[in-house]
Amino acid sequence: MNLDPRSIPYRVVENTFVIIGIIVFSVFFSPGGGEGGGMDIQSTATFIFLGLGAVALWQTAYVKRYEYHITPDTFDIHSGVFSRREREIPFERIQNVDIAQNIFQRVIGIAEVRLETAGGGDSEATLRYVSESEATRLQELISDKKRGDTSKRDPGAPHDILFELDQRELAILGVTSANFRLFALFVVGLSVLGSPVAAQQVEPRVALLLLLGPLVAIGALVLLWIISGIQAVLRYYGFRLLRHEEELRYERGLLQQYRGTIPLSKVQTLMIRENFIARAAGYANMVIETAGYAPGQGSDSVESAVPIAKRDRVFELATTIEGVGEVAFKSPPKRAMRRYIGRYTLIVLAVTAILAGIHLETGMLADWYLGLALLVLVPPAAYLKYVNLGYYYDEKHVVTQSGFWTRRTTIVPYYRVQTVTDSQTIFQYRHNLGTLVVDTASSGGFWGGDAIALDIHIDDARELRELVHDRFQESAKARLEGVEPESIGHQEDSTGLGDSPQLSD
Amino acid sequence: MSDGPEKSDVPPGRRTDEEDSSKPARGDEPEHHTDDRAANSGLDSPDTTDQQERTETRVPSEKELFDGVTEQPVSEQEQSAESQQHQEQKPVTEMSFDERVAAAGDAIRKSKRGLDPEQILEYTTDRRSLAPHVQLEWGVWTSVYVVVLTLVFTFILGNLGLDPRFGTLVLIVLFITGVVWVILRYRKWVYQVRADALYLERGVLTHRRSLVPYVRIQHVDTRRGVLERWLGLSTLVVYTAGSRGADVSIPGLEPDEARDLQQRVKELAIEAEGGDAL
Repeated sequence: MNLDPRSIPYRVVENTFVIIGIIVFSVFFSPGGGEGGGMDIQSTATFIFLGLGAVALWQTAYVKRYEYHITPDTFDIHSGVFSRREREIPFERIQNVDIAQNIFQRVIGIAEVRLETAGGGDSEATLRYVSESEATRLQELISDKKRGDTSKRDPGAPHDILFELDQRELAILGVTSANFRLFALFVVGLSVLGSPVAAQQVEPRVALLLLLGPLVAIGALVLLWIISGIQAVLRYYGFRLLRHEEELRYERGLLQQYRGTIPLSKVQTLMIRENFIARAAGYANMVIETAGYAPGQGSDSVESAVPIAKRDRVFELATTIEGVGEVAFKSPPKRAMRRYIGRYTLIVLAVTAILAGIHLETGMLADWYLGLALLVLVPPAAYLKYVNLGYYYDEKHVVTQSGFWTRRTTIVPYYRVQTVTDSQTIFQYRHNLGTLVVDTASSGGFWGGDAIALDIHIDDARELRELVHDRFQESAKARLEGVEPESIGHQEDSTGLGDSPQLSD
Repeated sequence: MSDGPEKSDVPPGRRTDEEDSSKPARGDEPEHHTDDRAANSGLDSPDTTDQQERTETRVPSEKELFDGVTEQPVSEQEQSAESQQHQEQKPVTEMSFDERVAAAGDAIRKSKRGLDPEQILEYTTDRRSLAPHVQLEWGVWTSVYVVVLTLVFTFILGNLGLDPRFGTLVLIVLFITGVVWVILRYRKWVYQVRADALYLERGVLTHRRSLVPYVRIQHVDTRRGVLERWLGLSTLVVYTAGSRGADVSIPGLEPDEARDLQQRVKELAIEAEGGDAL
């Protein structure tokens, strides 16, 4: 099968902007054009015309030479104009199938289809572009083939709507989705850079300039907040999460529409995130992590399965998907807090020392000792850090929680465990504390994937390491024998505790 | 099915089948056995009498089966015997390519009913330390860092108008720290091949104990840098699909031991079948 012919004009236009850009650039900066334009209009037009012709020819050839076939077991792609590439992707290895459509593509009626496997790197296959109906057909077909049993297919199978984003939630999403890491950077950067340097230059207006840095910072914050809010609203407009047999499907987006599938059997971990604003309002979001996306693909790589919802609702959904029951977190020992007090005190002292150093060198910061005032913040900071830590395990899952600014709750089913490690730094050694790291294959970027139980009693950490490993072995064995221990997608055993005779320990 | 064929780049022959061991060995196999034993004799892994016993009663390994059906028509006889036993199909010669591949897959799956626990125990080890002369290797690297750091410090001291001879002091302090660190690092390193997972203990400032289940192992490398070759050392690297997969490596092994360990881990990984390791 070929790509949709309508993709030729779209691709030409898409690439034309690049070509025109290059030509305009080269015209303006071409040599010999000292006084104004380099070339006359006629030759510029000729260049543009030739460029367009070349692009059109190339894109036509590309689209004509791009073929894909569906065999019983694989999705084959033969592509390339001069150097040909033939790629076969086994259906069962496909992790996600995504359809993306921006507003222009919607007008013409074409869509981009992306197939992801766990192979890492880029998408395994990107079909640019096929018709809308073909995109839907491929998505359906691949999920059928993946199950390998076409006869069982029931076209009228119910689309269970698991979640739908309403207007109110969309508004809350806009307000709460801000990148606070950037915020902090701005505040620190601007107030530090802004004040002393400026004060040095214009002595009389010191007071005013000292204010200017923070003011600019606050302005930038508000701007960032608004922008990221609008972005989030555009991104998640009309979000719906459906369950279709053994698959989750989602659709979202106002200008750029996405429709994606997440096979339940490929779910690695669930992560529930609450930044401090959302938490204050009682809201949270949930990310379903698969091994399909490579780390470092940007924010797009981690798809929010539920962009925002009441906290209870999110946990309810987590129960539906992963069968984790009531989660009763255990806190690390109280002495962990002493560590944080020590750590933050050291940080404040270090900052003060740096300020003092600057004063010694330049004589500018006579008030350097005011840095010590930050010590006031140490106890509450340590408390907040401590209070948001927790871990929990049951018959089927390990759950860990940490973070104040954004609290992350990671749910890892035992059968997704890759390696288990307990670690102890020399600072933890003094307090008899340790950290348990449960690694999975999910590629949720820098923060994703691993369940980390920070600063628990070292004996607990070691015991848990063995326990997680043992339960992993049991569940792996059970899965191999065809006794599916996971309650994935089965509403009826949503307690996640009941039906696991093979996990008796 | 797990990716057996790719993994079997080491001589086959350690695999047996619990059930099939009762069957008489087929007549066309002994040549293979001698080959296998010759190839395996360099390894000091599970003791030789056991090995002999096992090689005599073993079924063809995956590599053999797979190669046999897909590439070498020579062993088709063996394969057809195997597949008829299991599934009463038409002879291999009449199968299409796809069918032959499928048959090989079935045969592999069926031959994998697991080593019995005793045999698995033979692959395990007790808690082991690294080869002592790995300290030399680390010492060399640490010395390089110490020298560079000393130069940097001396340069800074000079710039601050202090006596550059303080550099000697810095050198001594750094050197002692380095030596202590190398010795501690060596002492803290422990690895153990357990029945179901590879166990690692390491780290001075952060002490870590890891379990790497065999089911999760994607592939196993041995690696030798220039310095390692001079010192007669080798590093075993175990890859998993986890985001911290690259973490799992055991340095400072004698080359023979590294190969032996690779063999053990490989066999156990093949044995521990578990889907697509994700």
